Amino acid sequence: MSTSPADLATPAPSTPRTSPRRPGAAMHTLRMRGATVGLIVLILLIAEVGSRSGFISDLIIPAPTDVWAALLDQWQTEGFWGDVGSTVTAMVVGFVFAAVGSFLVAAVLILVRGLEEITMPIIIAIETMPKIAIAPIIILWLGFGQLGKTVIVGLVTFFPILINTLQGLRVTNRDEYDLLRSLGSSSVQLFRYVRLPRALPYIFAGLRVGAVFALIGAVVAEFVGSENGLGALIITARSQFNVPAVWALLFDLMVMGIVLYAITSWAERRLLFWSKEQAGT
Amino acid sequence: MTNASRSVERPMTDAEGSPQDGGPRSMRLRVEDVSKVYSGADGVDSVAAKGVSFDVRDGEFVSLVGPSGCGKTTILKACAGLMPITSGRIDYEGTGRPAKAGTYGMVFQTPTLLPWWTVLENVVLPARVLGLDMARSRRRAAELLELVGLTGVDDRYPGELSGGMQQRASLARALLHEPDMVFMDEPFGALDAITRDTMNDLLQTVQRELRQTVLFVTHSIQEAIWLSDRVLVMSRGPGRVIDDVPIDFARPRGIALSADERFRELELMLKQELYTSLDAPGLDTTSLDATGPDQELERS
Repeated sequence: MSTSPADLATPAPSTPRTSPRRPGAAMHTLRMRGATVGLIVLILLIAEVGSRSGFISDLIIPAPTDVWAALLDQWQTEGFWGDVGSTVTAMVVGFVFAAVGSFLVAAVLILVRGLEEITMPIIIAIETMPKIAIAPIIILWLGFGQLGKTVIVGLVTFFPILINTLQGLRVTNRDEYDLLRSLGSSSVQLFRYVRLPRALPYIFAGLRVGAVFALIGAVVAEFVGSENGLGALIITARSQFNVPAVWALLFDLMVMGIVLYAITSWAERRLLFWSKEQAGT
Repeated sequence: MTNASRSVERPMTDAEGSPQDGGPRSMRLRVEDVSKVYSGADGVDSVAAKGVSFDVRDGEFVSLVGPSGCGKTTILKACAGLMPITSGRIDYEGTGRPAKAGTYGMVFQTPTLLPWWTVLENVVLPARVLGLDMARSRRRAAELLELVGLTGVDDRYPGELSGGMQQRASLARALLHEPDMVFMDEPFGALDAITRDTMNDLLQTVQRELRQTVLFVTHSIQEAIWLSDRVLVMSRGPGRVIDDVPIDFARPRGIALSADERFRELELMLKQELYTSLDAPGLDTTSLDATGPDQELERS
């Protein structure tokens, strides 16, 4: 009776979760990773040669070494990390609010009989709308500051997480329900002990989609109009035809996306150690 | 069909002592003329059970045997109050209703352990739901796990256990809150024959220890005879109870019992009753030999 939602699915540190691999398997993975790195190097090399030889205009694809130089240059520019912080903050705060909010809304929709059925058409209608298109209005309402983009991030991430969470909470296992009912459990207990854990794989699928959307939302919000942030820097660099800087900023955004994805899949592995459907690394 | 089954000669079953404890027993569960009709989505109703009547007395181990689809699971769930009935009456301990949730234990065909909890946490689930003392329940869970022959796996997760081990844990869970009665719905149906025999033996050990009142659903006649004080035979759907056979072999009953003459006679008799309702020419009961291979009942 004293469990918090967090220990619903306490991980098993002592348990050897990874299946015993054949000795050849590790070697195979190593070879494949090597091949991946090789492919990346090859692409960069082609871009470098193509750009340096003038075969491709460096307004389209600059030499990777120029992009690297622009990257190092940016990192030392005053105020750059403030821009990074602005984008990251909007992204993270918007994402967290959306995740918590959509979870609470989903819980209410599920626990209040009939509510889900009534609201589902509306939710789907909103979900179908390209929410990014609301960005100009939101910016108009809330201004070029931090608030506007945070709200946009929240809006674009809220619905995919909500819809996945609802789908997860609809998963039913007849025997598990009968088991809980045979013990006379309340609907809150049923929710805590069975429905929520069963929904977690779906919630995490929603979170992963949401994480990607959060990044898109933040950048688009900054495109539409923002005092600072990486999206604003891209607009500025482009207007100055500083193509290497644009690519360098794209690289920064990619790194942010990878970090966010890594965090969600790390959390997923810890919480869903029992699930066969969890995402790979 | 009733006539056919009534005409079967019943072997003598009064020689080797009495069931479990003898003595007068009071009524635990009474099922009276219960019917269940499922209304299909296409407007076609299907009758799962029709006019089922039987009773279970205190401390008695009663099996419901019947072919697939005869409604035995439906009846079991109705007795546990997990499924509404269409007509008739289920009276648990004079309450006029099915058994009250939280007062009985339940074992399903699948172990139904929650994969995100350790074995021990799964076994104490009833205590968690019912709000019992957790420290005491954990101690009891450990004792029960030992009783069902599961030691050293308290902190393992269900996914790491074999099907038989999982079902043992699920049996321990059903007993945790000291239930007044245990309902078992084909608990060993998904296990291989060897594991199944082991589980049947284990169940008898547990019964010697705890003397539970049990309603046990199975489609294995051998299993039913081996475990029960009484076997109720159900006909093919819409299911009815066509016979009520007391089994009075002395306990403990070992695997050797299945070679016993009277055991085989009983088995043959029950098969005849069941197969008469199945309309399968290959199972012509007049030429059926009890020493032959154990026929599966799902031939319907």
